[in-house]
Amino acid sequence: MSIKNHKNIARFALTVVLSLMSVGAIVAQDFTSDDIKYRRSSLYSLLINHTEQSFADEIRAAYLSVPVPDKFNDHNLSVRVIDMDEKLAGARKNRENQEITDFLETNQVASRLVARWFNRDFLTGACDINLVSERGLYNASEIDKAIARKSARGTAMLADAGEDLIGNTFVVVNDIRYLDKGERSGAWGTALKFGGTIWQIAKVFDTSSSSSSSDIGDLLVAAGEMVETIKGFKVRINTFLYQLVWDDDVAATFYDTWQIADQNPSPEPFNQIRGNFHLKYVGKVESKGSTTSFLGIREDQPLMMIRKACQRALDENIADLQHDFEAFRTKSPLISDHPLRAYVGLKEGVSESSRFEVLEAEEDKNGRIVYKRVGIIKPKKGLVWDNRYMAEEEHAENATLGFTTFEKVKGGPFHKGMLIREIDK
Amino acid sequence: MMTMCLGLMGQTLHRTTNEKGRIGYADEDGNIIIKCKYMVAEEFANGVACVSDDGEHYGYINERGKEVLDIKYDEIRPFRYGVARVRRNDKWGLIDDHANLLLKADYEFLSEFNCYGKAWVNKGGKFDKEGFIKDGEYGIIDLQGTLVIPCKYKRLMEFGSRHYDWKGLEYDDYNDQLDRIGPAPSYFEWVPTDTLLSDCEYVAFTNDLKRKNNGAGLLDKQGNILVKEEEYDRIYKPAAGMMAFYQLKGSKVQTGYLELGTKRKLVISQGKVKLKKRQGGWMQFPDSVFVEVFRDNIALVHKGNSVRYFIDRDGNRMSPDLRYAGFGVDEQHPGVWLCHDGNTYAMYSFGGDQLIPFGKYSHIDFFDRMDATDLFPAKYPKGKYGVIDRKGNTIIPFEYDTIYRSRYGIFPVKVGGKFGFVNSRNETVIPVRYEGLAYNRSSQPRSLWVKDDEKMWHCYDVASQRFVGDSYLDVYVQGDGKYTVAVLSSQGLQDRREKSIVEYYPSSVPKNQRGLYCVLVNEAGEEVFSSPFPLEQPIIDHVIRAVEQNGGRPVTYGQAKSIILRIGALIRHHNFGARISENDWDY
Repeated sequence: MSIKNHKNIARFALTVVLSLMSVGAIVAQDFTSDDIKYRRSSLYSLLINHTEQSFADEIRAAYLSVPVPDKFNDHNLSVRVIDMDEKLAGARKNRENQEITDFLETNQVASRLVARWFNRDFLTGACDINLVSERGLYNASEIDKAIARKSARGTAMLADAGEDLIGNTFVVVNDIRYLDKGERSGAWGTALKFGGTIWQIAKVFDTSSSSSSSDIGDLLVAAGEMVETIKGFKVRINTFLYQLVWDDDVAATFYDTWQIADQNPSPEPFNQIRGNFHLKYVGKVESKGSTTSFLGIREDQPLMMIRKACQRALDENIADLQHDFEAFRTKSPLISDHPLRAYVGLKEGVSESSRFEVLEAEEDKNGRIVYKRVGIIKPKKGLVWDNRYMAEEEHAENATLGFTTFEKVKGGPFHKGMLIREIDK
Repeated sequence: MMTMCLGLMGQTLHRTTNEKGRIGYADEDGNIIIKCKYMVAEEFANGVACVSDDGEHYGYINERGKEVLDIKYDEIRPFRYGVARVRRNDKWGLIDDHANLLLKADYEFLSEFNCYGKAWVNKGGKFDKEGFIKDGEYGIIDLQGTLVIPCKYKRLMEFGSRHYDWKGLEYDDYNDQLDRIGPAPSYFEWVPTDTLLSDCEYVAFTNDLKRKNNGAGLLDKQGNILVKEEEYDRIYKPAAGMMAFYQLKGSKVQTGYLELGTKRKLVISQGKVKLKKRQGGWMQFPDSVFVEVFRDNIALVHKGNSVRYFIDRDGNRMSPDLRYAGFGVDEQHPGVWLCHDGNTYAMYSFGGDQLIPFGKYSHIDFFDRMDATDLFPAKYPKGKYGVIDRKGNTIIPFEYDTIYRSRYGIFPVKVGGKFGFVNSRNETVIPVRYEGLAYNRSSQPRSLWVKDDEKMWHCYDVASQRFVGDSYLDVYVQGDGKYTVAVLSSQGLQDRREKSIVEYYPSSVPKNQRGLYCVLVNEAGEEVFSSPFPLEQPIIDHVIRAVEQNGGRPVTYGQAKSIILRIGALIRHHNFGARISENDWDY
């Protein structure tokens, strides 16, 4: 049998593995809180990619393969990665970074987030309410009718949507630095040359798409060499959090241009007021830069290590931002009331000392949804789910629980479907 | 004591860790049931849990903490089909999902089980540098860990279909329709798999590796030797109790069948041949007889390159000389042979009955997988086309110039150079007056496409029996027919005020691909996506997914731009210090 035959074998084997992984991912998805409908905050995440550092292309590809955390709506725009060939000045300082703020303002990111909410057509200026109704769990035609009637209910719905949905749109800007290992990175660079293009690298990360066997085969040539160089791969991420400003004045300005575009299709009215939309700086966190275990990484897929290290650090930062900034805290539904269970865990920063308020959604007399605290719960000892990326693969303790189990601190009764949100201890 | 045990068995144990980081198990109230003494411990399933004291050696304990599988295995693979492979000192064995040892770890290799519950084992082999196992002896086990074929053969060979061989098990796929296996002369292609591919009802074997595949013997699924080694040069996958063979001795060749139940040998041909070597490394028997496998009661015999005929299980000829014979079969209908004698067509059942005699039809059209209607377009000699069933009854009268194979009961027809569609009751679905037809080939079509005499394509909605949507320069029906890529004419383009979209291209689109304008049309004739550049298949797949995520609603230009930009996200670069072009923003 020729060498070529052997390569084919490796290609086949990895293709099969990728197929299986993709099936696994689908199965896992069945158990996320996606199935339970509740209002989530919306998130746009950006990467500052430092092209002068080692692993820049791999980090970029890994970042693009990281999904939006399932407690958030995906509000990403087409620009996800911005390149920089030097360090970001003041990245580690615990204050607003003017360069980032300038970038967001210069590129009128706030207006684009609003346009995405209303599915604005860049050619005609036409907008619709489909996304608002879908994320707000409204019936779109019901909103349209209510607005047309100028009823209290219609106004309340839009105001409700504005406060509870559009105003809860966040931007996270991630500045990822590879913590250099000196000679290790040199060896990696050499190995990667065998590995092919960034497209091929991306295919290894993207287990949902079927990678061509030839791409995989080429990557495998270098795989053995990579394994040793990639162990101990570390990143440090500084994450800056911004929130969309959406108040009555901003909303009124937007609705005016929508009406104009409705009567006379044109992108211009909105383009002229893009400068009226803004983001406000909320705060920042820095990941600990700790070493990520190589456990669970297949030796023929060393590039997954970069994905694992990046995703763990990104999840850590999202969790820390939620701890630090109340506005950014997400809700999650109780999936069971006896015992109390929810799909949150270590990924969201839950620990045995965490406390959660339990919220019941109510409609007020104007038809607006308001949340009322009905009690407080805490995780049961030893039953905090380890839902961090690849925790199962590395056989982490509690990785297979599938949910965190809670116990009552006070209040109640609690029912399945009620929302929980972390509170300060 | 009994009561306590029952209580214990009924509750759920969860892992818990002590202050030293050692793991044990506690009940739902947090009471420690199994001491925290393990370095690795998995959750309980089927009353057992995988544990390790040192992270190097693994075993299983039950809910009382008793070792039910010794903690001495270097590796325990995940469970599949209720069993898991275990490794100790580089030898493999098998356990069930209650941690019972089914097969002692005594084998150099144990493959994954296939969907038929069969796996192959090797004893005494060695892995080479490339990871291929060599030497040793092979056998096959079932999910009970029973060696259904004992581990005593130097090589085992499955009868292949489309797949081949790896690590000692070999498949011959010279012609997958014939399902033949065996020795050279043959053509080999190697594709890897380390699992068995079949139910192993029959397996070939050899113990003389120098002979390669020549002279393989035959085993049944219980491991009984049905044909000894060297009895025949070449054997084929048995079917209907008959095994086709070739026997080559010097220049003498004999072909025929062995009836496995009775061991009766049916010789179809014998004589002298001259071997001819062909480029590519395989040989053939010139002007010899070539036998196919039995399908029920008849088998096709090839004599030379141009003559074929059927024989029955006693070797009697069942047909005149044929120029062509092919068979069709599907889940609903028994298989039939379609045959051509050079002038007319006939049809035989697999049982050997002549369903439609020669002499009546100059053409009968069917596919290898038959249409669900089980109806076939047929043509009278020097006459017109109609449609018949397998008994020869006329279903659609013989009044069309051409009738093409139906899809789900709708037949494309042609009269006077014009196309239309009729159903199996000969009712007009689309009148016969169009220049061309396009329709999907894999599902019940809700819409069909026709080309008018101005060379423009239109979508015809079968349900409402009217044309819907716009007209297009060209159409490409996608997959199951739910979507069609349609190309706009320059006139169609001018009619659209949104012409400016053509001037927008993401930087990832090469210049030489700019200029065409395509739309994606759904079954209702609605345009659901407009593309500023040619839609190639990978992009079409993305687009269809995006449309479906959009609830099937038409995608706006804004969304279309977003989809295209996201497809190219990985190769687009933006500078942090500069204002990013509007073309690279989707909103």
